[in-house]
Amino acid sequence: MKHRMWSVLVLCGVAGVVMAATPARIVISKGAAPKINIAVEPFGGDANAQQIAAVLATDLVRSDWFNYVPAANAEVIVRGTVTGGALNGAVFSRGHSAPVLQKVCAGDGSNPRSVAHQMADEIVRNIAGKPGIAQTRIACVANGTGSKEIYVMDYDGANVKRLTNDHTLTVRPRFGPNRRTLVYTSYRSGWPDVYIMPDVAAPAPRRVAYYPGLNTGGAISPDGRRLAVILSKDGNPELYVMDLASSALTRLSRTRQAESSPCWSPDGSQICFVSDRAGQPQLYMVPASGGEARRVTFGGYKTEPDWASWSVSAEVPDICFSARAGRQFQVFGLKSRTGEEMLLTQDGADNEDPCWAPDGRHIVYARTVSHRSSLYILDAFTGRTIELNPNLRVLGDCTAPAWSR
Amino acid sequence: MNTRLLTKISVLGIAVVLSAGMVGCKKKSHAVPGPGPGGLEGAGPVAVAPSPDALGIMPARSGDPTQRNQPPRLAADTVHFAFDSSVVNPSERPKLDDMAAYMRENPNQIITIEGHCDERGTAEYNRSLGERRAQACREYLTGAGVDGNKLQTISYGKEKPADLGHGEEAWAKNRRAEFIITGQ
Repeated sequence: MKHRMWSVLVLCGVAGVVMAATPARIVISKGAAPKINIAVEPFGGDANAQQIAAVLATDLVRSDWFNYVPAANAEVIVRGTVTGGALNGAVFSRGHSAPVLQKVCAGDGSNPRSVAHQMADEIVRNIAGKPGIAQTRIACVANGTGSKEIYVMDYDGANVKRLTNDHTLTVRPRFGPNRRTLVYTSYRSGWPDVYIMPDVAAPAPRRVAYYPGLNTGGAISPDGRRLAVILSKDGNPELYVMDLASSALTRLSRTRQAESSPCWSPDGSQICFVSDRAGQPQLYMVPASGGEARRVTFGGYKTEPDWASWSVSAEVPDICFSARAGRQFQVFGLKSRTGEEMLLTQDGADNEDPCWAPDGRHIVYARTVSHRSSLYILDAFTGRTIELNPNLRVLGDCTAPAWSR
Repeated sequence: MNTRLLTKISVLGIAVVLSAGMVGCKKKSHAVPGPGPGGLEGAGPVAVAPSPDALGIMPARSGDPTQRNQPPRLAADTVHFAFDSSVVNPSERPKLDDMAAYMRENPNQIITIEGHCDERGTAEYNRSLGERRAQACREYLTGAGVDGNKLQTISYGKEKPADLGHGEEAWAKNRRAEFIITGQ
């Protein structure tokens, strides 16, 4: 898989500013990942068959593993019939009469988008050989009600639902290892506490950390059993791991400075977090069971790490974070194996709060221009960015996005 | 220095005794097993500082911090900070000395210290930095002899600026710790 990297030497202007702020090892990826030419022929059957076909076509384009082309130019063609809301789909390779993939996608007529998303993930998994993201969800914070509340939506910004009604500051959502569990921080008690909502489909939050002082930064381990969390009950913001069954705490940091923003390695053995113990905030890693912390970034102001649950390619970083670059914040990548840092956004806006999709390729982040924030999606392979969904602007400023695992 | 350290140790002792006296409150247990003093590398001044535990374990929560009971004297004692710093500057010490005097005059009041940041910087790091600012004031006050059990903290990060502007003048006002009364 050829993936071109342009060194900073090739870039002019803005890149020089970035170098001054964060010296060494900065490259921006402008690779062109190979794509498969695909077409979706009109579906037969139910009245909403063409809506399903259209959503499927959009899903395939959003996956970034396919080019959508006229059927005459396609290497791969999708055909289907919708009956009683369910899709009987088949995928054909050009020149072959037997399908390479057949799939019945469940539906009852009430959820045409969901039917299309099921088919899209089957095609991405079987034809492109990658994890699909069409059935994932994105959560975010929005302030349109006058308070900061948490919202959840499909991965393409459809089916937006408000999850909290706390009338205060409700912030920093993060999904657990299934696609339903959400952890977040709310000041609804008057104090910052960490809550877990076991299923975003039926919001019933449980308060899990409410010690004196600060409780925030909750992140559920890949096995779903532990919570990394920032607590200040012992007199200073520190990193802890809570066993969710017993509420027992293990303390992982012991400094006079501020720790924040933990995230888990995909195997659950390490936690990456932020500390300003050496001056400005930097990324550190520590064994999740305790031990010596290891500094992994140097120079500048680096915060908000998120560790991909799946690595798509050795060319693509597996940790994303936001760092000051000149006068702005930009999304950066870090290869956890080599320590190589890569600048991933660079568009004159403040780009913060990055979070990986479970395909290890896409990153959702908050883009702020003139103090207005909206959600964008970055393809870490190509550097291409798109607004998640302009319709979301009715929610107000959207920040702190989280992608389900 | 010795007397300050002794004061801190006695405050810690009181906190431990009080927390041991709490009943039916599993989540408030302070007997937390820790991995030892790890993670202090590359931070020279940190290594010689007292254990962060000497800052004083926080008392159980009390009162409602959203009811902002802040008499003018407490408003005037708002402490300001340099960018990305939780160090109490010498210029701010008279305000904390006045707060210590106020708390000696009103020994039954519970004071909540709010920590705040300017809009630059990212949200969760600022939430921890705001807590550090509140804790730095708490540490100063307990070092001046104030009962740590009357001092609690809350961080709002960059969520509640005092000045909604976007320049250095506004930012300087927003990097602050404020004092409010949350109980008698």
